[in-house]
Amino acid sequence: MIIYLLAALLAAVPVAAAGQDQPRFRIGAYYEGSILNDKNLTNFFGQSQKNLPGFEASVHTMYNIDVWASYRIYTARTETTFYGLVDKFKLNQASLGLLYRPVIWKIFEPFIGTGLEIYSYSEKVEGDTAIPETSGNALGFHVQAGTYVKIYKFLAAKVFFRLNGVKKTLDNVLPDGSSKLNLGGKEFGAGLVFKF
Amino acid sequence: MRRAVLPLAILFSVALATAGIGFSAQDRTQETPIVKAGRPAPARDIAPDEEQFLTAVAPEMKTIKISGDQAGNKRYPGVCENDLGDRLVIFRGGNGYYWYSFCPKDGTWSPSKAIPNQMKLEDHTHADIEADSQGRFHCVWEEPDVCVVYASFLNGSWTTPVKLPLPGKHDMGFSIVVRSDDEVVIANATVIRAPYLTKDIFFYFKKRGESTFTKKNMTTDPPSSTQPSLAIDDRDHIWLGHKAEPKVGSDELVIKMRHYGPNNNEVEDKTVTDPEGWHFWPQVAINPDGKLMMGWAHTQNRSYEWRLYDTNTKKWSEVYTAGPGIPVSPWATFWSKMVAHGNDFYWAVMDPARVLRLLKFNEKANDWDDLGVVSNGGVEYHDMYSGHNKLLIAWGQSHEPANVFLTTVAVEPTGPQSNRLAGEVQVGSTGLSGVTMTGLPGNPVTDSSGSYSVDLEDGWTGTVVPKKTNYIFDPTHRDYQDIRSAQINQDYAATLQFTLTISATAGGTTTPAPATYYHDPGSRVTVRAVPNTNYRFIEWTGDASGSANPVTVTVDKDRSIRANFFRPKSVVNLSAEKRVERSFFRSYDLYVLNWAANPANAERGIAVSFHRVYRKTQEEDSTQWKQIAELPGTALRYEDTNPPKDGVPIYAVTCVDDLGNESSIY
Repeated sequence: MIIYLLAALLAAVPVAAAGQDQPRFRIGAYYEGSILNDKNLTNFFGQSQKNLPGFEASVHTMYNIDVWASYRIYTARTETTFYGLVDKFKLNQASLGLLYRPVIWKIFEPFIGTGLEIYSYSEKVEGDTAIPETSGNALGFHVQAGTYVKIYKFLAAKVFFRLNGVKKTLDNVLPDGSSKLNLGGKEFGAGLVFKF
Repeated sequence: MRRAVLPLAILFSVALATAGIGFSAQDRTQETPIVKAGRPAPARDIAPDEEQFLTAVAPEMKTIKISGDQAGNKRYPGVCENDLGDRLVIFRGGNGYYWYSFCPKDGTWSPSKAIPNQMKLEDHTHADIEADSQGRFHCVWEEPDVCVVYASFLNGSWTTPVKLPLPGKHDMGFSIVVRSDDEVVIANATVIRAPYLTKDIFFYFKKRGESTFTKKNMTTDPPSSTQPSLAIDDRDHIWLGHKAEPKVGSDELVIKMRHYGPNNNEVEDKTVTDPEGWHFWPQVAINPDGKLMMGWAHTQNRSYEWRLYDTNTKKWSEVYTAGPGIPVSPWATFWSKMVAHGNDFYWAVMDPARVLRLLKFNEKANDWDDLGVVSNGGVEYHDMYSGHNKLLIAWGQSHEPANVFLTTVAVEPTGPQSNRLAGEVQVGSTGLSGVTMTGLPGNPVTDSSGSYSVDLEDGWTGTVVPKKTNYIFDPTHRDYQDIRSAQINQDYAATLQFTLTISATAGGTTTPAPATYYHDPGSRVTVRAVPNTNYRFIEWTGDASGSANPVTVTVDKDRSIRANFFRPKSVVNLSAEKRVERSFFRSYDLYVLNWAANPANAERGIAVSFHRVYRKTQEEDSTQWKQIAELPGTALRYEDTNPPKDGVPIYAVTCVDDLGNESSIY
C-alpha cells in the first residue's frame, strides 16, 4: 500500500512543480487518536479510542493543492468469549486524497482535504480453536482539516482532524446480531512534517 | 399245657363225630345237592323291627364227594379255583400222603390220587391253596410240630413237594396268599425256643420263577404268636390275623391284626380282642371296598366273635358275637374259615354239634345271617374259597371212615357298594400322613398310615392333586370322569424333597433357570449366574453369599438363593449449558456438560473405566442417540463444540465398567 501511495505521489510531481516557490514534498509522522464508529467492534475489543502512529507524505501539484497519502495500523486485542483465547484484530488504514492549502498566515498554513480510505482488516484467534482467521477489505472516503505550523523552513508541526466513512456488509453475524461493519470514524492528531 | 392236650382233643372230637349223624354223598361227577339249605333258624331272637334285616336267602348248595374209595380216613382238605376257572382240591389221603383231585373249567373232577414225589409224614391237620395269575396252584400242607410242605400244580403237573426251611418246629396253622406279581407268601408259626411256648410267625417268600423261599420273622413281639391267617388286598398289602400270648404262660390269648405293605413293612399292629379269655383261630378277609373282617373263637364265651375294620377310615367296630356257638372242644375244632366274596363276607363255622354252617355278613343288620348247613354231620376240618361265581367249601368228615367233600354255594360276588375313592400315599413303603388330597370333596387329609378315602356322589368328575409341603408325588394328579363305582388303590408315591428356590434380579438369569426346584435331601446343586449384556453378576443373597460363580448349594432344607445382577448406573446431576465461543467476526455454539459420579456404582464396588457421551436432538427418537465422545472414567465435564445446527440437543452420559458393561442411556 505504501509503495502504491508513493508511486502515486511521484507520478504527480512533474505537474505540481511548475511555477511554484514552495516545498515540493512533505513527509511526516504523527500520532493520533482514532475513534472507530463501529461500537460493536469497539465494545467487543473494549476500546472506544485507540492511539496509534501514522505516516504521511504529500507532494505539491498546483494552486496550493497537494496530493496526500497516509498510512497507519489500528490494532486491538481481546479474548474469545468462552475459551478466552487471544483474539487479535488488525486494521490497515491507507488514505489517498488531495489537500488544499489556501493561505499562509504567519506561521500557520491551514488545509482541508478529501480522498479515499482503503482498508484491509483481519482477525486471528490464537491457539487451538475452531474459529478461522478472518480477513477482508473495505473502501471509503475521508474529509479532513488541519494546519501546518512552521517551525523551521524545512520543518513544520501539524494538527489535523479527519472523518472517515467506511462501511461493509458481511456474510456473518457480528456480536450485536447485525452484519454491518462500520470501520469509519474520527481521527485527530499532531505530528511533524519535513518539507523539501 | 394247652398244647399237650391237643392230640387227645382231636381224638375226642373224632370220636364224637363218628358217633354222630350218618352221612351219604352222591357220585363226585354229579353236583347233586345232598344237603338242602333252607331258611336257617335265627341264631338269636329277632325283634319285629329287625325282621327287615333278615335278607339272607338260602343259596343253592351242591355237594360232591372228592375223596376216592381208598382205605383210611381222608380229611384236611384245601380248595382253590384259579382265574381260568379250574379247581383243585387236596386232602390227606388214608395212607398218610396228600392226594388231589382236579377239575378243569366246566369239566369233571379227576379221580383222586396222591401228589407225586412227596415225603412220608406222620400226620396232617391243615391244608391251604392259592392260585397265581398264571393259573398255577400253590399248595401247602402241614404236619403239626414238624414241618410245612409246599408244592405247586399247573397243567396236570406237580412240582416236587419241599419242606419250608423252618427255624424250629412248626406250630399249628398257616396261610398262603399270592401277590399280583405272583410272589407266594406263606405264613406259618414256628416254635422258636423249647419246649414250645415261644412262637413266632414267619413269612416265607418265593417270587415267580424262584425255587426256594426266603423267610422273615414278622412277630418278634409279642413273645408268642401263632395261628396265622392271611388276606391280601388289591394293593398287595397283606393283612395278618394271629393269636398272640402277650406273656408266655399267662392266661391271656388275644387276637392281633398286623398290616404289611407291599414291601412287607409293618404298617399297623393292633390287638383286636379283649385281654380276658382265650381267643383261637383268627380269620381275616378283606373286600374290594377296603373293609377288613376278622373272626375268631372265644372259648370262655363259647362263641364266635368278629370285628370289622374300615381300612379307609381306620375305624374298628366293636367286638360282636356271631353264629351258633362253638364246638365244645378241642381247640382244633374251633377252626373256621372266612372269605370275602366280592364285597360280601362269608364265614364257614362249626356249630356246637360240629355241623358246618355258612354265615354271611349282613352289613345293615351288623350281624351275620345263617345261610344254612353245609354238612349234615360232624366236620373235622374245612377250607373255603371264593370262586368266580360260587363259594367252594371243601370239608372232611369227623366221623370215620372219613371222606372229603366239596360243597359249591351258588352266590355271585358283589362288587363295590359305593363310589368310594380311596388309596394311600407312601414314602417308600411307609404311609405319609398329612397329605391334602385337593380336588376331592372336603379336601381329605391322609391319616397316620397314609390312607385317605372319600365317598363320592354318582357322576363325580374332578382332578385330585396331593399336596404336602416338601413332597412331590407320583403321579402328580389323577383325573376322574363320571365316577359311578368304587375307585380303590388310588395310591401315590411321595418323595421327600426340599425346595431350592432360585431367583434373579433384573439383568440376568441362572442355570438352572430361576424357579423352585425339588431336590433330594442333602443334594448339592450348582447354580450359575448368567448376566445379560451390560450387566454384571454382583453377589448371591439368601441362603448363599459371596460372588463366587457358580455357587454350590447343599439342599438340606428349603433353600432360597438370589442372583443379584447390576448394570452400571449412568452419571447423575447431568447438566448441559449452552455457551458461545466467538471472536469479533466469527462464533459458534457449544454445550458444556457437567455431571457427578453415580454413587450407586461405588457402592457396588464398580470402577468406572469410561464415560460415553451421547447426543440426539429433541426431535429425534431414542434410536438415534449418537455417541460423540468417550472420556476417562474420572471426567466430570465435557464440551460439545459441534452441536447440531438444527434442533435442541439432548445429552446422555453413560458409565462403562472394567468389564465393558455400559449403563443405560436413560
